[in-house]
Amino acid sequence: MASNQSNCDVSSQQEPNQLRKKRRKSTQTTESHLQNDGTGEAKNQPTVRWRTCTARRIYSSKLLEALRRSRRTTSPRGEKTREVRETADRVLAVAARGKTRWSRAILAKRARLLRVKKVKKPKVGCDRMLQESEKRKKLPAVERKVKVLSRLVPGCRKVSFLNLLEEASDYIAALEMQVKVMTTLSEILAVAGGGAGVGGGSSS
Amino acid sequence: MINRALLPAGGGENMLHCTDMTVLERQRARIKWQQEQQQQFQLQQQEISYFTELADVFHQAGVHEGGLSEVVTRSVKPDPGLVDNGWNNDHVVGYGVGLPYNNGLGFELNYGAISRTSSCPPEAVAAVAEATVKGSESVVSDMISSGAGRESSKKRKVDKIQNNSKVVAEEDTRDKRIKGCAEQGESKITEKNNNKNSRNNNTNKNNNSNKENSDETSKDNSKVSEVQKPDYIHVRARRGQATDSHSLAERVRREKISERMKYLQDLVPGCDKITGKAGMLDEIINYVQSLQRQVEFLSMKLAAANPRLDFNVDNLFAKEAFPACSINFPTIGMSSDMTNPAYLQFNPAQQQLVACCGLDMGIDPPDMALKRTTSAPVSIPETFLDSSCFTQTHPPPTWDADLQNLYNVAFDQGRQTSFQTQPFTGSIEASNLKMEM
Repeated sequence: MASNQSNCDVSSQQEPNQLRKKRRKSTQTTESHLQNDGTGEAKNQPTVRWRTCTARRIYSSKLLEALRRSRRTTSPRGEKTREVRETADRVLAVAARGKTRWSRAILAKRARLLRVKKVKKPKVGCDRMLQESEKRKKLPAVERKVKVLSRLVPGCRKVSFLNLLEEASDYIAALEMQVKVMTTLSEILAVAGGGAGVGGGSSS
Repeated sequence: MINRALLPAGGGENMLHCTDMTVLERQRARIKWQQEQQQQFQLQQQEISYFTELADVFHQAGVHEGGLSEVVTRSVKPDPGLVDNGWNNDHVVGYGVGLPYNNGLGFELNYGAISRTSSCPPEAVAAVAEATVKGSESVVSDMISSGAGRESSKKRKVDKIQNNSKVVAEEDTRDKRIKGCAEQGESKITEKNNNKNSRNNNTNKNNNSNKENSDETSKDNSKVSEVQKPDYIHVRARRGQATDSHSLAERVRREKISERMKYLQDLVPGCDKITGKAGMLDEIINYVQSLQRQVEFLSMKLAAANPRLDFNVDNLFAKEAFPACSINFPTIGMSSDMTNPAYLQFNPAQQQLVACCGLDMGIDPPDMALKRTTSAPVSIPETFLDSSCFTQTHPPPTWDADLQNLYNVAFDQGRQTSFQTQPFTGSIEASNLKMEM
């Protein structure tokens, strides 16, 4: 683990200048947060948790495994994208180790689906809500945005503003890592597949 | 317990049977109950018990006589000189003077108790005496409750004591010296109370205000003719800050929120210039939505590339080598030497991986391997170089741009390197076609 991290730093030095500056900035923020929050909090900060090379490696390997397994078990016709995305989200939630609310919510979603097939009842108080929203058109702007954000972050609909911000920061860091890993993975697979196609075409 | 031994039974009955059950008496009853509760306390309890005895004494005197203040002043005033020199003796003398005016029994017993005390309680006694000089016997009961009790309202009563002590000091110059000692005693008491408070209270805000109390009182001991309000309120009001416990809690909460917003500012790119919660929330929402869209897009790509996923065990090499390679590729890009063990590990693995692809596609593996050995060092390192470069930059335009542009950025970075791009281009277009289908 240590060697990987040192490799990360070595590579950062040899990258072009702008990349180096960016990396330095992120390490500085990491360090400042480490100093601020004490030794116990250091590992729990989202920047540290989700930006280590080990985290990326763990996630990528687990993702591959999960994708292979899902490929083998099911292949729905028109829903490949959604399945892949849900697999990726679940692996991300597992990588979070259950310390955050959104990760538990993602895993709970799946568990709930498997256990009981819910039939969604239409909202009873819907009309009343519409009338109220017409009367009260301008909720405070901040509150509206808070609601939107709480809908975006899974499992955070009735969470206080303070905790919502914390969950959001962890979720953003996790999503960034997810995007990086999936990009790299898709490019490997695309290149490999494309190369095979090209090679096959040229050979024949 | 000493208290109960020294409390005259008659006095207790008198108190209870008095038709006017003042707040004072109710407090006293409560205090007695509390004292009974706290028999397991240690040293401080003992010291405080002395206060309570004395306070009870004064209570009694007040109830019966109403002339307690006179008694005390008479006991204190004649000995200004003596007061400085030796406390214990003077107290004895002073209370000796006061004795004849009151119930003999309780006072005699307390007289003995007083002589036993150390230097601290006499100061407290002086504080008590001084406090009662003004006739505010409620203060005494406050002292008792602050000494004995666990209640959080005690905090306010401590402030009242300080208040009263200040008020007293202003009026009588002769009492100044006494006051000095009393304040020391009181500061000790407040410190003790603060310790107790910090032990007993759960909320941080109370601790903060208590610490401020003790700090402020120790600073303001020298300033005699200063304040009408309790110290900590005055200091906070002077600074223009809120003084209420509710607003203190709100301030803490607001600080937490601003701290987390700052953290999010670091996380979300392009938020340096934005101040204010609404703008920041907008940016955060946009960013989260764009990230989720990206994940959706990438999952689409991965779903399209799914056939490649059916690898066997050889794929494990690729998985393990991939992060190492993504790290080490910049070094490889510099020199064509393949001295890097990770790269060496990777190359055969990649060949194997490709070989598996070939198998799946039904193509002759050796040909595939041959064909790939020439182009593999070129195109695949390039891929990883792109991805590593890409993964480590956060080019702001990509978040807002089209998803196709995202792909082109990676592609452009590949172009900047001096590698051959032909096989790479071909693969990208092929996968694009697949996606569109």
